[in-house]
Amino acid sequence: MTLLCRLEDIPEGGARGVLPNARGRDGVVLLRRGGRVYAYVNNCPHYDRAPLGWRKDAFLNGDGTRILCAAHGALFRIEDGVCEIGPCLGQALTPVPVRIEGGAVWLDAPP
Amino acid sequence: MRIIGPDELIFGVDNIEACRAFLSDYGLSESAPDCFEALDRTAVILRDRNDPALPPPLPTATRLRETIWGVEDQATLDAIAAELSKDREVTVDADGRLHTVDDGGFRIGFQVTRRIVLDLPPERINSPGAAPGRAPNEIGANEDAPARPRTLSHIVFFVPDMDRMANFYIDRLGFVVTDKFTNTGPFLRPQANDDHHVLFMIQTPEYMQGLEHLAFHMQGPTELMLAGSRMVKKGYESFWGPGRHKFGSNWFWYFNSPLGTHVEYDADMDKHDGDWTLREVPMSKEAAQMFLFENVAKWAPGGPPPGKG
Ligand code: FES
Repeated sequence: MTLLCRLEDIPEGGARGVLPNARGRDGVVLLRRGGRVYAYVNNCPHYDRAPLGWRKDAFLNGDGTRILCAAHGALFRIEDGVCEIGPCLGQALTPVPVRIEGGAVWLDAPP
Repeated sequence: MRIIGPDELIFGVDNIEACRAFLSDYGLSESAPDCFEALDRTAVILRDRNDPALPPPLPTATRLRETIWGVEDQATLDAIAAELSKDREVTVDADGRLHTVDDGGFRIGFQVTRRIVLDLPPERINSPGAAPGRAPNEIGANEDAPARPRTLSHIVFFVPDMDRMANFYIDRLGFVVTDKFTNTGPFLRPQANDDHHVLFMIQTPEYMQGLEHLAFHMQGPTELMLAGSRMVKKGYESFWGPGRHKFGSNWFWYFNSPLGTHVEYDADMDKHDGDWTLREVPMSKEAAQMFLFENVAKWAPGGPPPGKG
């Protein structure tokens, strides 16, 4: 298991990018809602190698209800990563298996 | 038709604060509330997406509501009104701007341009065999140099029917095709602008219709690198670049943005006139870029990687 971050490092209702690669790009997006943490590969299904956010940890639409692809505006449901509107309509973000233990978020297996 | 280029892009967004921060950091200045201008006054305009004054949105994810084209004079505006009124509704607002819709379904407007004529130095370089571009003791690598977008350069659309869309701009508004990616779309320039393109389009399914990116011209490659590096240092997400395109020759660096579109810096684009013969190649990564670099941080903008702190 790999430690991703402390649970308290993700604001409730907010998002955080973790697992920076050698180029400083966050590989995984974490979203905290209630007692749950949702995790997705930081890549839009519209394009290969298309990171989602526009700034470090900025991954959500205005009211925080959807994940935004800041490339062409696709909106994804937080619960299952399905694209509801945008160039990847009908496709979904790739989920990453994570586990909350001891107040921290752990990667179950490499994405 | 003496059309110059895009003057204003009007967006309806759901996170106006984030968009304001982005456009300021990108280098535009807020000249009026939520009007972000380049040095020649071309602008990106932000509105709340529920603002009733905005034209209706497309049924897709795009947040662009209207593209306002700048024209040379009132006579051009009158000619456009006469031409487009033949087969569509053209309205005139209190400021004398025309509003209508193009054949691709995008809202467009026309106004006597808001651009002011710039008189600014180009990037100066020293090249053996040529007269020095910079005087003795004048430094080229100045980290503190300003890097301000000079003018709105071009826009690129995702369009469901590229021929229909392109023919509207060619046949009805006098745009010229400079180059073409087969089955993707043409690069277009209007009559009062010699830039390689101010408009390009990419053929896509209908549910993708919208703005792919917008770009502003910078002084030159160095200023583009300076501006882009500053964005990366602030934690913004680089999407593609820096690199140099083949068609148009422009240097490029694209960023993701909270406006839900790529926002590009470009520099040193080719100029063309009536003697140019268009080139056509199939669209590919190789055709799109002559070379590509990637800005590699030693550590993430948000902090060092695990184990390197
Ligand atoms: S890359 Fe995500 S919407 Fe295009």
